[in-house]
Amino acid sequence: MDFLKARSTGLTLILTVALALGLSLAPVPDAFRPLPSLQRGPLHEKLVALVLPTSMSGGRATRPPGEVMTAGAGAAQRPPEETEEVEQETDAGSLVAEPLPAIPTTPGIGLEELSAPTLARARELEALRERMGAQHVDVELNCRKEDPDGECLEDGLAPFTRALSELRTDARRTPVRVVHLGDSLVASDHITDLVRDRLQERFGAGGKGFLFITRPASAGRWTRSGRGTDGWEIERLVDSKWPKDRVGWTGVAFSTDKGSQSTRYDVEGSRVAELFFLAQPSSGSVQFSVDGKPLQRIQTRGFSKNKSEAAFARVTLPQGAKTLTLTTAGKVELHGMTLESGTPGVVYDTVGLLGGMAEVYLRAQPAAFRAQLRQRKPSLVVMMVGGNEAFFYSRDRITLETVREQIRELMSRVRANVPSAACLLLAPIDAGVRTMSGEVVARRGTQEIGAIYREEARAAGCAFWDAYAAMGGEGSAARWFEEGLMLDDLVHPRARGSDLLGHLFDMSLQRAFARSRAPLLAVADPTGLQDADTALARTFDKLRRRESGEALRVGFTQLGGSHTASHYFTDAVRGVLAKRFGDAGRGFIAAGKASSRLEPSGVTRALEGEWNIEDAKSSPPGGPWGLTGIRAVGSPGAKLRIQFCKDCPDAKEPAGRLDLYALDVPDTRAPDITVDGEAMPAEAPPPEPLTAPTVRIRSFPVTGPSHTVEVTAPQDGHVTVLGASLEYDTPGIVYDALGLPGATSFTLRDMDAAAVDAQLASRRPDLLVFWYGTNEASHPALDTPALRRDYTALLKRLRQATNAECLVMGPTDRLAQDANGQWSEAPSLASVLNTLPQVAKDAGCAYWSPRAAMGGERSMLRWQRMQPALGHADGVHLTPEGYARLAGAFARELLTAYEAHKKAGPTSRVEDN
Amino acid sequence: MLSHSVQYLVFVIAVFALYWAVHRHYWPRLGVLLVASLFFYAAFTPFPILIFLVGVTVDHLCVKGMARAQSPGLRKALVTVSVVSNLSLLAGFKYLEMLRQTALSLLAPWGIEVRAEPFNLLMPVGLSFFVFQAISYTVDVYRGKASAEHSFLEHLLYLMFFPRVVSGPIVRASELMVHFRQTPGLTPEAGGHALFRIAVGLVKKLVIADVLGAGLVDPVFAAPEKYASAECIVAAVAYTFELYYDFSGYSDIAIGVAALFGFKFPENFNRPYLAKNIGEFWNRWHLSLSTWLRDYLYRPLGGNRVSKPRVLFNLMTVMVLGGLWHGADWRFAVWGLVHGVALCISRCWEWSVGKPESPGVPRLALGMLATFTIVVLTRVVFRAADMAHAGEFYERMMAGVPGIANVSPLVWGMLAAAVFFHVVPMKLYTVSSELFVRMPVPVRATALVLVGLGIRHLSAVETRPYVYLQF
Repeated sequence: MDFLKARSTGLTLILTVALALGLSLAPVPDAFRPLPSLQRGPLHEKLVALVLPTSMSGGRATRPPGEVMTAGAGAAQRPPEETEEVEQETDAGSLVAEPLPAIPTTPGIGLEELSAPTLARARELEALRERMGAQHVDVELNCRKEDPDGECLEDGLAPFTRALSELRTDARRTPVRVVHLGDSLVASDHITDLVRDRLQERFGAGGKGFLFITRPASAGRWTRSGRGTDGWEIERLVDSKWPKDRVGWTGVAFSTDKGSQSTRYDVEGSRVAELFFLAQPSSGSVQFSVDGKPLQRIQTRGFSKNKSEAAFARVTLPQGAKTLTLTTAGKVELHGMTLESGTPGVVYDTVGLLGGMAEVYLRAQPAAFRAQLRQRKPSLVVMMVGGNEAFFYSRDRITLETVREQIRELMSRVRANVPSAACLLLAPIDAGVRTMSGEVVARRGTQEIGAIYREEARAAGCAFWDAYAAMGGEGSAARWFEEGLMLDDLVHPRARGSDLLGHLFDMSLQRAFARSRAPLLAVADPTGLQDADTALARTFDKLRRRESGEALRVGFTQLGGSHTASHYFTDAVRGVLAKRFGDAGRGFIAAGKASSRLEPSGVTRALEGEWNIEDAKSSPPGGPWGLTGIRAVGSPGAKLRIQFCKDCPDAKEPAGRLDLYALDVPDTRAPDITVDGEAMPAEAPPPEPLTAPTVRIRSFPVTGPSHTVEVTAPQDGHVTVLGASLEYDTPGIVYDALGLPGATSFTLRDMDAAAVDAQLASRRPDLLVFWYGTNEASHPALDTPALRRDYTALLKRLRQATNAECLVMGPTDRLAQDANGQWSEAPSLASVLNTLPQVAKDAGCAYWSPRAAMGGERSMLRWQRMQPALGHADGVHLTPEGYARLAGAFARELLTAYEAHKKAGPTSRVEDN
Repeated sequence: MLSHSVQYLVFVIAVFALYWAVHRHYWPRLGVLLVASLFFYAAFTPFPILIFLVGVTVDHLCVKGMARAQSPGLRKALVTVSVVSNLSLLAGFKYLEMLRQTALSLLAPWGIEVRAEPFNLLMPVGLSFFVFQAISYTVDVYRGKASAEHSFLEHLLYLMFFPRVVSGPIVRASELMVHFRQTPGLTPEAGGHALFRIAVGLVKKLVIADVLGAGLVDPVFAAPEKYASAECIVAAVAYTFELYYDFSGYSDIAIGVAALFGFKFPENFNRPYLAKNIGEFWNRWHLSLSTWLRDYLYRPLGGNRVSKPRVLFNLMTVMVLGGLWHGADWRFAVWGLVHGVALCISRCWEWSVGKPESPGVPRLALGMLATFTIVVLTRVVFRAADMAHAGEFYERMMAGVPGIANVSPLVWGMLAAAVFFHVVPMKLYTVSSELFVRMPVPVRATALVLVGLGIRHLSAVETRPYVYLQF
């Protein structure tokens, strides 16, 4: 080959490569290796990294320097803009969302009080954390108040955890505010958005908090600002000519003196708006308009003729307001706006300045800094700087002594201005730089800055969180970059990386809160579906076979109180399961009055003539009842109609059967029955004369999806109807909802066992779902041993009657309100929560806690205060949205357990019912 | 995959091996270069290749049309189509956003509606160089200076040839395309010189330019108010050298790599900071762009063969447009404008006093100093984020704030090296290259590895993309 033979150039190249590789791999000092990266990690991976362009080896393509140059600053100061949420977030609340990854989570790391949808996302982040080697690092509380003997009287986070505790116990009527000052890491509200959402979910949402007038930079998300017109003059504390003597910690001045400028906020759910502005001589005004209508005009003129000062104007927004527009007239300088709901909850203000440093926040006018901070009355001030300090230190442009002085001064200013607030200092996160071979190595200086921050936080009485250690320590930026969690600049995390940081920070706060107090209820309320792998094995096997194409019917029968009777929960679960496994019909509908709750699923009920609807709860024990504990007794000539699939089109398919559940009563003539308008022949009387009312189930073959059954009492007697059901011959799911408002497990226990067992067996359930407990929790003198004993016996009996598996659901978070409007736990909630998991275990059932899925302790309060409300004002029930949310969580858990079971392999084949 | 990365060197070696394995056969040879060029570009981002393909197709049709057209009018129309289509690419991807912003700031106060949202078009890497080279070919065909007989693939390779596709040099068809059909050869001497050139380019870029940039230029330009006046002045000088070593280092690598494949690229620099006047500076700086502007803009405008005022107008036009070519920002136009004014003054001076036969040393030194000062001062506009920042920088330079402590010994050393290697006689370079070529192969390989080790230890921790990559 010419390449080798004649061309010394080729030989030179080959020898050069061989020599370079040989030296790099040889046992020589690192300084003699041309490619030291080959020694770090698996050789083949490093060789691939050397050969393939970065963009083709999993990294990011080289970015031309234009963005950096036009940004006019070092890479550490301004993050390259990222498309909003490149990573598709899983909608945890979605009913049809994918099942959860089965990530084991260690108890006590802070996940305990997350509601199910958030928990799902948190588990994904936990999986990511494990993969990245990130750590759960506790907040170092330090001590903010000592007695003369040096004993700590109050830890660094105490004002914050105390305020959260007051929120939790419903003892606080004002919001708990957090002011988070930071740099570019939080400028687009990444990291802080997740922390805010989690805190608001656990303790209630108090509103959006502080927002800028418009975006302070030409790029970035709009999440923490209004949508302003283009003419605002923007001056930032980070600018080389920063606004001196005017701006406080909010950091940016938005001014105009030429023409009118405006900005618009989405204020849905907000009731209180407060404008931060500069009161100055000869200043103009700001018109507040809500949904296009003028609300109030604020004058920004100062009282002093030659002095400007930070000022505030609070406006109450009308209920239901959607947008708030501010329009200026004359010379005006605004600093921002806070939006709050006016209800107790957490408000998390974020101010992230590109290039932000402790020194930048110290540029703020001290008086304005103090006034603005006091105006917010924060319970906690978080300071998240240090990244830019580390950048400058790595370039020898700042000394560690200066860094120390600046952070000391900033903390001192915060503590002096709001002495009653806790303060929390974060260490800067790891960052990387590229070497000549394209290798990413840790940027120097971050650890040193972190160490200084730790010392200074301790000295100032502020808490400290080591974000650097949480991220994974030195070199973690490189690992995060390789996993696509960091931007090309190796300084700023991408959205997913920010979420992981937010997750770690939030959980450290949650652990600090948990350590600060005893729980309100001493219960072990487990999250997730318990014992599903053993208790639901046959059901899962059947689902698997159904999914693999076998023509099977899988029956679910849910019995319970009003949560079940409302149909919202069961409709949603049925929808998820039917979508995946097929729909085999609506199942059982109890006889009764017309109900709007049935309308979403196309079922209508109607009564004509005189009917008496009796229920087992308000009757003496015993007696035959329908499966829901209801029976409808019609007077002579009265008519009852149940229509399935009301608006479905007429069709010949599918074939199915319509069952009518009624009572045969001694000496009473059979009622007239029509199905789809056609009279059904009378059935032969029983061979033995009736001595007592007996359940009779008549079955009528039907075709098509939509059917109506009509029962008319004979002219000379009464009729007792229990309900009807529609099932198709198509394979799929049937999910019965058998609920009686106010019912307890005792109600079901006291119903005639033979009638219940016979009817339940006719439903052919593979899985019985029992959702009792919420009503038991309200009994002040609940007989807990009886509950455990009788409920267990009931479950065993019904399992035996149906050969079905079972799943016990616990109560929702049930609260009761005292005369002063103060909420507290229902009297027996703890007993029920402690008993039902035992009942489930004793009866061989799976267990799932709706209360844990709601978020545990006092979650009902938070669900009540959400927008839209998920919890009903009575502290017992949920709104339709709440039931849908809870059903989504349940379905996810069920399907996750199913997936895990599928992976583990099928158990022995079971016979179909 | 930047040309100072290890990946690029590995890539070049692989293509080198493939190319010389098949170099006697036209199609495989062309295929290797074409696939390598497309792969190289796709490593940045693949999407613009489609844009370039459209551009080449239009140009190629125009070229073929000109070859067949008998009518001068039709030929003129076809070359116009080609030029307009190329400039449209440049206008669309590079200048549209600047024009929108300008229109917004000028017209919006008058109530004239202008699109408020940015276009968010990302400029393909190397577009400016692609467009200028594409225009040079079609215009050369029109002028009869280049053959129209090249195939579409040759045309495509000419524009996408990987050693130069990102930042030039702008190579004429007569310097590259005509050689595609000739069987290439590579003597041991030529290969040795090429390797030496690449090594020199790497040292220029990674050791001198990056150390100056990361060590002083970046921090000072980011926050000039934090630095003393002398530090700002040193930073401006350092940037002047950084830019030269950055771009000439890149050009050395491009020229060296092209030489490894048997192609000779034109020189791009000739020690520009030794220029004795601004006119001479432009005959030493970014030569492939300067000569392009001369041949395809200045001369068509009339060049020197028109009235004196018209010559001055032509000079100004060329310099302002040349400035704008560097970036879609008015500060580049300002930079070009200042250089244009300096050129016009220099030309007027020549017209009035004539060119001195043998200027004395003091006069030469004064000329060099004045030229260098103008270049350094205008580099501030070139480097600053915007005109306001440039203003602040100038303000700081003139403020008289004492101190020079922030210039580290390494930066001082590198600045001294930059000056030394700039003024040292070219013969030193030639002799060094010859010495390298004469070394036995193992010694040569050892020398290259040692250079690599030296770069590793002397270079800045952070490697940076080429400055001209953005243009």
